[in-house]
Amino acid sequence: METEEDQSLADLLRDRFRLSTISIAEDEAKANNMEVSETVVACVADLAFKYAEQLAKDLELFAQHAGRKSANMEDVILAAHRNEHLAVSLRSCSNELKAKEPQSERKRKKASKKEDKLRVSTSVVDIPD
Amino acid sequence: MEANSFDPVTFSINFNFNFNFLSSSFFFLKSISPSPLQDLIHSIFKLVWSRRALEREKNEASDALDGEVGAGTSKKGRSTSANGNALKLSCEFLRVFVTEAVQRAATIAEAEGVSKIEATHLERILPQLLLDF
Repeated sequence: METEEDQSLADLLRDRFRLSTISIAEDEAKANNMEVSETVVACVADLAFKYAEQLAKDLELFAQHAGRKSANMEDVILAAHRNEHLAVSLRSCSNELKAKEPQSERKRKKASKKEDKLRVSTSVVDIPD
Repeated sequence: MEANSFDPVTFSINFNFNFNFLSSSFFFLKSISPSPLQDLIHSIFKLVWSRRALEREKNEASDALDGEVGAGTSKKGRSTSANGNALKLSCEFLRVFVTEAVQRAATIAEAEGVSKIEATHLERILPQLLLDF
């Protein structure tokens, strides 16, 4: 029974993830003044989902190797180590996130109304800790 | 078009060319807050991690039946977690993956003089894309 629930949750998450990926991909294509065929978008979405799963495994392994139970930004950067450009951009992003940290509370309050609406729609898929 | 021929030279050129895109798109996208996406990715990570934790427990159980080896591994049974910034960064990571895929395919389509990205274009950039991520 548990595995069935697990499976339906996995399917739900996968579909939600695909939807977000599709919107990102279509926006990106629009920005390039290009049309995208549906098969390409679906393929990219599927790839990205598989990649997300792989990334989760990597992060877990990296965190465990460092003797931690929670993955942090260093683990994510390490996951991108194969590609220098990517690692560099991720590192600069992580530095910005770190710098933003103290201000993040205020920003969150500003955007809270919007976020609340979105949260309601995503809360269905939340897994309790 | 001769889209099916594998040409390592073109691939490497595309690789260098496209990473100029990457940095620009990356900073552009960062300004958009990916909060719902972040929750989603958190859920996905949690799911993968809880699955793996379950698997480990099962393995430990069978190990214990075999010969009580896993006495000190009980703490490994708990699933991993991630902090907020790590999730944001993972979002960015996956976003870059998707945008790179589309942009590289768009470059190929442009080179062919077509305004629609088709599966053949994706096929051509896929090997290098998967090597790059």
